[in-house]
Amino acid sequence: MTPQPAGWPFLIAAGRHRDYSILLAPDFLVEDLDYGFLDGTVKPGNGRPSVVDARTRAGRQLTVVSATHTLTPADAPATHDEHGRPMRLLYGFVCGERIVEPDPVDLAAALAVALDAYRRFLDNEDSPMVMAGQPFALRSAVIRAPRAAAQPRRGSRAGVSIAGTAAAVALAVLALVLWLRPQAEAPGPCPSPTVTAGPAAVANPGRGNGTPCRAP
Amino acid sequence: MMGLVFASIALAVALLAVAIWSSRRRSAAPAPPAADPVPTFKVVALGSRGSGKTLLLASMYHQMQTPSGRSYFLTAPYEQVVLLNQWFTEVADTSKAWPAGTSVGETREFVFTVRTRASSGSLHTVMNIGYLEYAGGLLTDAQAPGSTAQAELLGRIDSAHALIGIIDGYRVRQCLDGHHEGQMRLQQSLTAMINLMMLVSCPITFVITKWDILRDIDVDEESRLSRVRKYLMSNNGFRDLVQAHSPHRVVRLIPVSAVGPDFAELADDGRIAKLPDGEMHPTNVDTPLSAVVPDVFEQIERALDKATLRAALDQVRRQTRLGPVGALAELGTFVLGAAGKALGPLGGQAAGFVGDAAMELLGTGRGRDGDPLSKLDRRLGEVDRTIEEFHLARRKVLRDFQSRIDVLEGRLPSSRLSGED
Repeated sequence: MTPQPAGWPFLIAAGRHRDYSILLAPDFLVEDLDYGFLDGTVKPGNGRPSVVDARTRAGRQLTVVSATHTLTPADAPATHDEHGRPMRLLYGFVCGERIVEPDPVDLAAALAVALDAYRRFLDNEDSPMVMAGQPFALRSAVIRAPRAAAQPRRGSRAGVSIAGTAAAVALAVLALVLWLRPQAEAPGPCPSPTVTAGPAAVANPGRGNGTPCRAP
Repeated sequence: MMGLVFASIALAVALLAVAIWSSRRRSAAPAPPAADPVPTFKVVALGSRGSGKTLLLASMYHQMQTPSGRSYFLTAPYEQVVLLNQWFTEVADTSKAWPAGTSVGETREFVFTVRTRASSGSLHTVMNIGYLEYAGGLLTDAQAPGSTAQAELLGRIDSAHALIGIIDGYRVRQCLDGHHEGQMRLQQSLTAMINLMMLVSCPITFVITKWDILRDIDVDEESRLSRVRKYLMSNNGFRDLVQAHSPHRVVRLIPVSAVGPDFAELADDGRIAKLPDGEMHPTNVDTPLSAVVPDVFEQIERALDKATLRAALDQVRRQTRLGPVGALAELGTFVLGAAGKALGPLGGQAAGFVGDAAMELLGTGRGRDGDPLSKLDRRLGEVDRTIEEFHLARRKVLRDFQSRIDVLEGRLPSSRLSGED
């Protein structure tokens, strides 16, 4: 049975006087100090959730689902900052697999965690800390196919053609040398090839019931 | 057998030759169509959170998208126009709160094109202005590990042609009223700006935003500005910055209001509240951008050796084979070379623009009949009419930029900062 995909909640928000910063991030990214990509990836939305494929500084390929929530009096006592501007929460979840269509239930779950984190932030705005978001089971439909490898750069074509041709020439020259050289003595026995076994690459496992996030 | 080997060598050598030829051909392939010769001046506005950067940008574009007594106006890519108009409308709507702050992910560069309409009615593009919009916290707050936004901002600052330092008028007001919170926030903002500005070599314009809420601190605008200037110059870091830069480049202090005096007021809770029947009448919002080119050229003029410049002009005058347009480009190339970093990022394509700007803005050439530049100017009238019209239109805009700055300095002498205070 295929395990259920997991999502990790995140939150980016400004306070009454502090500017936007990441207040909640997936626990495995917090542990590896690899959550800064969220800053540039998450933008305020126009009412619809946004789904973006992103790559972290450490090379993790993740999908970020985000939405925007404008604070209401039910959420917190203060809904506007010191400049009289409405306070917004940029929240959502991160997933190791591609999301086909985000399920509103998943976003609601992420918002609940984000609001809790935001209230704690408001209690101590001058010493903000990034909270580690724990994984939760997603209901959103995901694509489990592996992500496409990066396309090779176009600029390498010339290099490949030159290298290939050079190899042909080298082979031809080698053939000539072999043909022209004096008859050699009978060759000795070839040394046996030696294979050194090293540790096999192991995928970095995800935490909890989450999806593994493999570093490249 | 031998024939086969020679044939493979010949084939391999031929393949190698073809590959090398093809590679060289690719690298020497004709460049894409010539780059747009319109120069782009890059401007970065430095300001902390809530200082009014976005509002200033929206109001500035709103006011400058039509000529309104100027010889030029701004255009922008349509999606940016939509966004700027949306922000402006949101501000102008007195039934709504102020727009939400800018997040780090919303960092973007606006590209404004300065256009002018010549007497024939045809439209000419004079230059572009790249203007970076970003979250103010990038200047003052520590960034998350792995975030590249702050590093990118610092790179933009380093390559900017001009910096605009946004000083929050609300904080200034709090300081003048003796509020500790205002003093702390203003100091935090100034420290972040000064730290970066000490290293740059481009003109600096400080802009005091929300000037409308400072309207009652003195009787007239010059007295108000003088008072604020005195307060700012009492800050050690600010004074040191002005003293370090003003002998070499222009440092301005311009009061602006994105909404004007009839739109908002300080409420009892200390916040700025929109008036229910408020009307927007922005003040001085076009001045910071108008100052960019004149200030860059004033800095170049200060750095240039007068005798060298005059010698270069004489040389240009003698080179009749170039024709007037070629001579202008030659002058532009000379100024580009002499200006170093001040114009460096514009590239050689901007030689024509720089030649025109040198004619119009460098004191050596301005309004002097009989000197080499004036002779060039007259000879320009002999060339193709379209080119002539373009040059004249462009120079009219450059003259207009300078004139707006001259008017500002005449009206508000305190707007020019120097270390002598």
